Amino acid sequence: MPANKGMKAGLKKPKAIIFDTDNTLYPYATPHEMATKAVDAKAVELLGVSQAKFKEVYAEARRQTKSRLGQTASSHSRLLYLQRTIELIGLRTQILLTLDLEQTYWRTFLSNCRLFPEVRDFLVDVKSDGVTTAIITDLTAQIQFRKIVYFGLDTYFDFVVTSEEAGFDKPHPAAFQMALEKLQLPGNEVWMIGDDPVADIEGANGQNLVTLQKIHDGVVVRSCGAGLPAIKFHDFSSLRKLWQSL
Amino acid sequence: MSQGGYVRNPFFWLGLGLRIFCILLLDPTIQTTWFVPFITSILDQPSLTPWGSFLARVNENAAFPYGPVMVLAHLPFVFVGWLAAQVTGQATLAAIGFKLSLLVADFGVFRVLSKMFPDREREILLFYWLSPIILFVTYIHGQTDVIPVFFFVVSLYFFQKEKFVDSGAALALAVLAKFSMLIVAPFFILYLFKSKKYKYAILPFLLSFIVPVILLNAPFLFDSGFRLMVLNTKEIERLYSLRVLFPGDISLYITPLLFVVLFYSIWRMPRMNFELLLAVIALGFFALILTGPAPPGWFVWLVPFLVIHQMRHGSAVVLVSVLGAAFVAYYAMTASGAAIPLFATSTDVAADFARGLFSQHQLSRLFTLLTGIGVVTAIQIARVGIRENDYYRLIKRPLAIGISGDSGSGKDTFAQAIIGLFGAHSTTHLSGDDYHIWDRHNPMWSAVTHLNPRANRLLEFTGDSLALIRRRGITGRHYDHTTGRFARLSFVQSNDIVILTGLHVLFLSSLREQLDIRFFLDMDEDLRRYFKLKRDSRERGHGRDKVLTMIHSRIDDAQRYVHPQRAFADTILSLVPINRELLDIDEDDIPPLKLRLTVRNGGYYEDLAKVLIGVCNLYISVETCEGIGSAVMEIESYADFKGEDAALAVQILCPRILELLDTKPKWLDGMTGVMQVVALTAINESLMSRNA
Repeated sequence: MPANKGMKAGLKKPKAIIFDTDNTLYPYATPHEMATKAVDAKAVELLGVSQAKFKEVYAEARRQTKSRLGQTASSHSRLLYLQRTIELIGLRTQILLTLDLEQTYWRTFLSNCRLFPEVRDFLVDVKSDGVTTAIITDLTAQIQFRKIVYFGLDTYFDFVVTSEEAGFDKPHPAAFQMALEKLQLPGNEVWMIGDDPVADIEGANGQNLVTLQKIHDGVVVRSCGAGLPAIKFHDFSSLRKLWQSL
Repeated sequence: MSQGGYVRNPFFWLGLGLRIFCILLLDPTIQTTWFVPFITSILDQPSLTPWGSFLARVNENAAFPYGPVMVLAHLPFVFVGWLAAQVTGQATLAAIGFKLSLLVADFGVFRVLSKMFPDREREILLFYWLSPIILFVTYIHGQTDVIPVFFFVVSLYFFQKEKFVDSGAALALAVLAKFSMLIVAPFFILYLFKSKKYKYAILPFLLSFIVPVILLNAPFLFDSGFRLMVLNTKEIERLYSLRVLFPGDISLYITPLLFVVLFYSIWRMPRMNFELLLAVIALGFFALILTGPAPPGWFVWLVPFLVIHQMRHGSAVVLVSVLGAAFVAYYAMTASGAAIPLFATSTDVAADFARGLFSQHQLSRLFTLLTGIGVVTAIQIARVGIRENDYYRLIKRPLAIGISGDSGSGKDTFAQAIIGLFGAHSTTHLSGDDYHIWDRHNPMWSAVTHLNPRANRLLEFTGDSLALIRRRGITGRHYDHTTGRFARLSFVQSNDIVILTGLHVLFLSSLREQLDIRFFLDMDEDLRRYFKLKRDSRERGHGRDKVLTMIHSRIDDAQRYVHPQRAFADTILSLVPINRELLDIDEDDIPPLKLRLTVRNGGYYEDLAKVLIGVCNLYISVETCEGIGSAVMEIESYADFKGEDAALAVQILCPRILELLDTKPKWLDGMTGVMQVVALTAINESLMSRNA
């Protein structure tokens, strides 16, 4: 089921496509799980606390950081969570240790990251049709840039908007408006490809973008309302077929 | 995501549909006359000597020439079918059980191949799941070879994952299912034997292979039927079927001869990797199959290799498709088919009709065509799988790495870092220090600095180095830095990686030009003075002025003889203080340093910078300089750079080189780790451009 048949008739190739990253270009769960395990193991070794204790304190540190920073990019900062965790354990601020744990997380995360099949091919298709590409993503610029470099996709995207830059996480209009500004296009000439019904689909629908939802296990699909995507697709190979048919 | 994505691929359902269609509609003759009666006879009359008991009732040697694992593999489904048959009176249900065990093994082969080659599932679906050879042999002709092939593929999978005990055990199961599988064991063993890093695995592999084979066969050796049907299987005779008959009734057997040549060519390979192993096993199977009309089941063994070959070499698809078509055309007419009970007919009716249209001569031509395409495919596998295999190209002659630089620039540390990656068992390190003419106790030592080529037996060093690069051993003497004397002569063997370090490694063009990679280690003069002052005046108590005079006396020679070698290096590595003002010898801490990397004629620096920034979180500034592919990069790390970062960077930058490294490469933390990444990237670039 590459597309909602009804929509397909009126669909045409856009001038630009905006992508979400996590869970849209690659599955997030496995690398996150592996990376968390690696950090836990290292923390147990370096901080001399039990794994359960570390997890508990980490959750608290995360809660504190998030509640203090609200819907901003730095509220997702693992560096801040880890810094706070170590402080809550009672070891004061340990700069090198914090950096080490953070790098352990991202190193393990990246080394277990795999793009969904045919993501790169789709990007090549799109670029060869002269379509501009952009990314809108939550989290801080630093790590999202690193991810894109890791995937070797840095040359495939024309623009990146992070919530760090926009000031708010999706679905806040700020990031979408900023992207459209960078692209210098009206919303209806731009596609938004994402997996999250609220952050990606609802957010982009609010700015009048054409929304495409990437479906896989665990993705919530809305059948009505602001989170209803124009198109749903399971894998990039079917999206490529759709693209070629336009 | 790609794992398991097959359920959404229509080809999977097409293949499965075809299989189920055959299972429900067709009763392969060999199954109904031989295999199923054999298995059900065990259920009807359980016996410790099933082969003998069966033979006593049905005098048919060929009924079940397979080992105990084949019986065990079929038993569960046949048992269910047999039970159902008892209840319903539908005798065919046991046969359905037999076919279901084949389907499970068949699906298993598909899944294991997908695991061995992740992200290639679509191709594996096309090439394996829709293979006409598999479909014909397993579901129409009805052979049960897919079961040993499943265990064999599992064995390959574990072998690829370096789980040699599991691999040996799985291979044992394959052999216990079908004895002819024994033919692949020597390939595995030779492979382990040939590789320096896996030598430790020979014994565990052999034990986990041989012990189950003996233990599970032993009980049945007392079964005369087992000895007759399984051990004396007619298939062994196939080794002797193609022969040249000489006067005096002496025959030259071609198949064993081919195997001798094949084993010798493996023996001659300096090192092997998994891809090469796959290619030579495939050639072994071809040698067995193409030297006479093989039973159709044997082609099933070949299919996984045909799949791999097609994945590796896109244009092989046409050839392999023609091979499949010729195979089915020939064997549909010559091998037994299946009954179609629903329509009270048999596939043999059509086959016989087609056979009637062919004269024996035409059939021979078809057979020749099949063999011909097989031979061409084998040649292609040899060419693509072996001769054009990157790894084979890399290892044809030793990899020569030259590291030059001033004294105290870290040549030996760098060499050791590289040795730690490739493993001491695969490297030979020759140091220019062993070629100083005078030792420290000689008065000339202080008259002429050893930076001066005159103080070194440079020609001898060059000659020895070139010998090592040409895989010849040398006799050399080692200079001991602690005693300041030369040790006695000793024999130095060449190896896959030859590392040459010294003050003058890039001095003579005769040596320089034979090196694959040329490194020059530089050190910032301020930093050198800092380290030297710190060591000599603080630790050794020399006066500061005396140390400075010593440094100055050497600097002329360094500038005259050592520094000019920079011009000949592909990669210059130098450590530079981030802030010169922090170079205070009275401080205990070494000030933060950065690595300045100059890359010449190497396109890799952009990717290197990307990965070091993106993955390793280092700070890098790149300035491209004179010429194409040349750049200067400054690398800083603000957090600790760990060995794991180095490993990940290499995994991304040049994964192919990992095969050449030791089983557990010693990745280092800090700047030496960064230098390891640079070294491997440079080595990789040089290897890629190496001629076959």
